[in-house]
Amino acid sequence: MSLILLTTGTQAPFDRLVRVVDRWAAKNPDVHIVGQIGRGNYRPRHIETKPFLNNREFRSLAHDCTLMLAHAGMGSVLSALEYRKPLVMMPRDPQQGECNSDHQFGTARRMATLPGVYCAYNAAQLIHRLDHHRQLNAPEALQQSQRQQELSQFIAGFIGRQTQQTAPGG
Amino acid sequence: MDTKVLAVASRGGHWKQLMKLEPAFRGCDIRFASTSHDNPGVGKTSHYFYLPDANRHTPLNALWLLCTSAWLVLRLRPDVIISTGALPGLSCILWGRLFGARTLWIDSIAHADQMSLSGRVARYVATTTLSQWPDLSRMTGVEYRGAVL
Repeated sequence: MSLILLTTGTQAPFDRLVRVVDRWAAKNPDVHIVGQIGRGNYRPRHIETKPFLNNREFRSLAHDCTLMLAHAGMGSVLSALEYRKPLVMMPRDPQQGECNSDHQFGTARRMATLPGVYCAYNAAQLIHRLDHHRQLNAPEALQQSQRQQELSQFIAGFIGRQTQQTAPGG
Repeated sequence: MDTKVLAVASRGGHWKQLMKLEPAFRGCDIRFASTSHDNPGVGKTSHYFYLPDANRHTPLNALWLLCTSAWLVLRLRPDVIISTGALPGLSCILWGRLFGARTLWIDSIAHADQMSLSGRVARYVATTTLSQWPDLSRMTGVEYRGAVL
């Protein structure tokens, strides 16, 4: 049996996403869905939800799930890569009051180039992904990228410059 | 003496990005602050500090955040403050600048087409402001020095 972990981030609810997933869950009782959905107005009836999961609960579900389903936040992307779980994400739309800017569209478009990360821009695309979720690929094992090394080195240098400044003659 | 570093990020994606950079802090006298009440699993419990969450739509919380972050920065007196966002990090950087710390703002990788609002303010406050996207760096003049991914 599939286990899907649905998360909508720490800042705001995402009823549009939860509603589609809940209705899909009603037609697919063989799939177990657990959601961290914040405090929205929509009350799902076919999925198990909590406003927030604690770290331990999240880690255990992230480890066991077959699919992650989320808003297009970087926390979701980084978790999917860390646990090597396929991720389907739907960007929040500022025109529907789901967040302050359209930055999640930028995240979705760019992150969907990573293997194992998939986008759904509307309910139909999301349902299609859900119907075929067993065929989605998992992300590749994380390796430290050159960009990551560059940033770490810059930070170490930034901190180091301070040491030189505060240690005269050192 | 080891450099005292305060690393700040709101819970969720900002925090996850900060943790990708955690190896760069090893060997420093490091303290972490975030908006989870409990230490999200990094370092000693006594080296983790809670800050209230706030954004531009919650002015009262933002005021409270300004007070608590001032107290935190005054108490710790870090040499360096680093943040990957959002408002709690900016608030610490603001006080850090006033109390003589060197400050680094790393704009979230979630902001690929435009700097975050806090990032746009950080440009005028932080010692150094980075974007994680080369194109955005070229457009805005903010430095690019790599990314968390």
